[in-house]
Amino acid sequence: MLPSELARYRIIKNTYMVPIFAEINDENLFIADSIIKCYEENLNKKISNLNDSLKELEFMANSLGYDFKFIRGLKALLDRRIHLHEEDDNLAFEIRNNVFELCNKMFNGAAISKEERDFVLRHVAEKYSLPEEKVEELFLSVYEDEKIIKGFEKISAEELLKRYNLSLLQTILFKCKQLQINVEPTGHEMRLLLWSIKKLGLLYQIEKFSSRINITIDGPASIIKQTERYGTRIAKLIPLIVRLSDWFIRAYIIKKFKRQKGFEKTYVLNLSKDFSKLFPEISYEEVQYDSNLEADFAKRFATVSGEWEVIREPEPLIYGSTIFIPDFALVKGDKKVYLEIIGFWTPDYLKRKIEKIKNLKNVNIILAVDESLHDFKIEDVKDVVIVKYNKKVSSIDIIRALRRFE
Amino acid sequence: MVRIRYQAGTILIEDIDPIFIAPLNYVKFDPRVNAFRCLAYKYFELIGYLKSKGIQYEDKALQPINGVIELKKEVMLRSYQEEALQAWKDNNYRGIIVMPTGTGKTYLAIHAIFMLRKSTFITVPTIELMDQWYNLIEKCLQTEIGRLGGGHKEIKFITVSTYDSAYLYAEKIGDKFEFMVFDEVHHLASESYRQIAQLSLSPYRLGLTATPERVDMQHLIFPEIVGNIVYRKRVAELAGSYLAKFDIKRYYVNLTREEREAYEKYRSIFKKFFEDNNIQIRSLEEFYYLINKSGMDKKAREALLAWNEARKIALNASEKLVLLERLLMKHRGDRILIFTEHNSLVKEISKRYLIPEITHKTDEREREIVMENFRKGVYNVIVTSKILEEGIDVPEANVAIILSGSGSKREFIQRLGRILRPKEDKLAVLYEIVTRGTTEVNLSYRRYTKEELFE
Repeated sequence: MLPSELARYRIIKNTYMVPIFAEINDENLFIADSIIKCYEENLNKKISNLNDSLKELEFMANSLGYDFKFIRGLKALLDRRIHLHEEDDNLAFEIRNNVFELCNKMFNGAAISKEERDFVLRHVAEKYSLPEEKVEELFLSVYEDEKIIKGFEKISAEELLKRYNLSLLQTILFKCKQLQINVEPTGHEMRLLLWSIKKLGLLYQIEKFSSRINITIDGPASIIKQTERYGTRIAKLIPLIVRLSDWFIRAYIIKKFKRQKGFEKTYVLNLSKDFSKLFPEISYEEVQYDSNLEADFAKRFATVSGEWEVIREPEPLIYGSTIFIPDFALVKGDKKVYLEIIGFWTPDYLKRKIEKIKNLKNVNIILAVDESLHDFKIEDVKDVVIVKYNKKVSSIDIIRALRRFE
Repeated sequence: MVRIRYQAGTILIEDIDPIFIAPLNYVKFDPRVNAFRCLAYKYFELIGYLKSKGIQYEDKALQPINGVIELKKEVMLRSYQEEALQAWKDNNYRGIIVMPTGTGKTYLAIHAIFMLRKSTFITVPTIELMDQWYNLIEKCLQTEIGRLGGGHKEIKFITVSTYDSAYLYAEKIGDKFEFMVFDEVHHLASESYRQIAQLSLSPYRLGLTATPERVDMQHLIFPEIVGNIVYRKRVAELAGSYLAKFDIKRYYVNLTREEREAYEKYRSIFKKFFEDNNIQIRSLEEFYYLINKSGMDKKAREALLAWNEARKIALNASEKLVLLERLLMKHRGDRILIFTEHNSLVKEISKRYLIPEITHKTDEREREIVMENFRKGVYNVIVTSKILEEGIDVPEANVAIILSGSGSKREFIQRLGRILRPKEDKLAVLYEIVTRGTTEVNLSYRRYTKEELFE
């Protein structure tokens, strides 16, 4: 992510907000490469040196017609890749404290003349048996721009541009009040997406159009007032979305106008998988949604299933605003029964879940619930069979339950 | 039966007949969850409404943290503090108290906490202030205290937080506290921070500040989210009795010939830009126009950079340091705070005169040493940019030297406030140093008027 003042976009027809992405072309690769070189060349030198060379580079790039915001955006990303030399900090703080203390004792806190200043530094140098220049150097070493660059994590020019593009999009989305995603996901992708939305404290609404799914994302308070409070969280979904095999997004972005206080306008940002090539293939933190319970069951069930075929992560089931992503689909000929293993539950949760499933209509489902959690009597309803288990789900119990649907 | 519960900064109202909701313009139907919803701060109003209509409801919204409070140390309130507290109490424990810096706002708040004995969330602008509140509460009250921010994440019966952390966790804490205290409440008006108040159920609220009004008029939101101003005292009403007596002196310096030439050169660049584009730079709005344009337009960017350079020359004029030396000489032995606008000048002064500095870049370890040593008298002088302006306790300081600053009234009042903590026979002096024949002169006029301070 970039500092918000470095966001670059165009407004088109007073309606659309179009991010100014860096195309992966020779010119941009050259600029990116030059900046990376700046960092590499300043290894083992002071930050202030690096900043000076970057200033020159920005000036040059600016005169070639490059936007300074682009250059500074690349710089913001590269700054995170440097490591500083910090080992002498404690000694530096001690020296400084000594200098200030002596200065206070001798000159009431301010060495006004050069003689007074030299006097203080000389005495501290003697106390530590250091040369005066070394004391002066340590005194200054606490300032960030005096720090030495010890390491720089390498990156290719192309990767840098791609990361810039991703960061730019996320930065623009910080001001997003609502995001719509149109996707044709696998069960796995859908689960990952919904799980992330939930984990970020956002809310979604789902509509289905033939095989495509439309997900509208915002937060709890959005219904009462338009807010960008959820923008930073919505932006966190982006690395996940741009990795999907097929995607289209529409984001509603709030822009405030400083010239007219209180005046704001909402713009529309559209983007599709055609832009995927501009983004990096960084691995999104994989979600461990599969409990061992499920993996374990799949293995055991396969040995006794007979004609029943086990499909993991089947397509999501959607009816109206209800979405349900079962763990397994069990298929035999034209019979399809879904199985959901519920590890943690409360009676309320189970009731709601069954209500939800009832909405789906004509879908056969087996719910396996851990009986050790609650002593709770619940009747099977039409199309829904409850199987209780203790510690592990018994394949035999599932086979028995499947007979109800045969 | 109607059920109400808290969800991430909002209240969900379930199983209610829509006819009852119709008159409430702050409640909306949420199809995503098939229930009615409103922002958390409407809690008190909503409950009042349900009761008035005789509607039965099951309330699971507030989940306050339990705790007990004992008084460790009796602190006597001054008469004006008593008055302020009474006025706030009479307003149903809601509202804002306006008092100058250094008049014991924290003690007042501790009394309010002890009076209510409810789970309390206190929001402050900086980590230093958070620690300061934490220590003072610990000294006065026997109870569970936690901090949120600056590496701490303790949600306790009494919790002190920075505005930043409170904003981040607003949804998670909104149902846990019945009483909210906003220190330096003028911060709360900003678009993001106001959500701290809006996403919380707390029926009881107290705002504290010396300077409630904001140039951008955003303070008009306060009556809704905190309450009205219930009590107000100005600096002049308390100076000499509860605050130190003080004097303000403004000195002028000149630019050197080289500085003057550079200054005029930069001025002419941006003047020309405005003439060419037929704009008059009279207001802040015009200046924002320039900033907005500078992203696209090379000429606009040059003009903006020139404006910046010219301003830097005026604010950091070399003669200011000559005058600073004279003032340091004159006040040898006094406890002095030097304020500047730019960090670069702080560094320059610290390096040249071996004066400890505090800026937002100062390492935490050193910052603590500097504050501690200034209090103990091991250090007599500190140079700083913006960080010391607000709320930090430096009771010993009696001289402030403003080498440069913005035109903000609030900044000026806060800087002045740093030297006004009362001490026997203390006479505080504030010096303003301004570069003649530059835009800084106008800037300094905007900071205060005699009427505001003395009448």
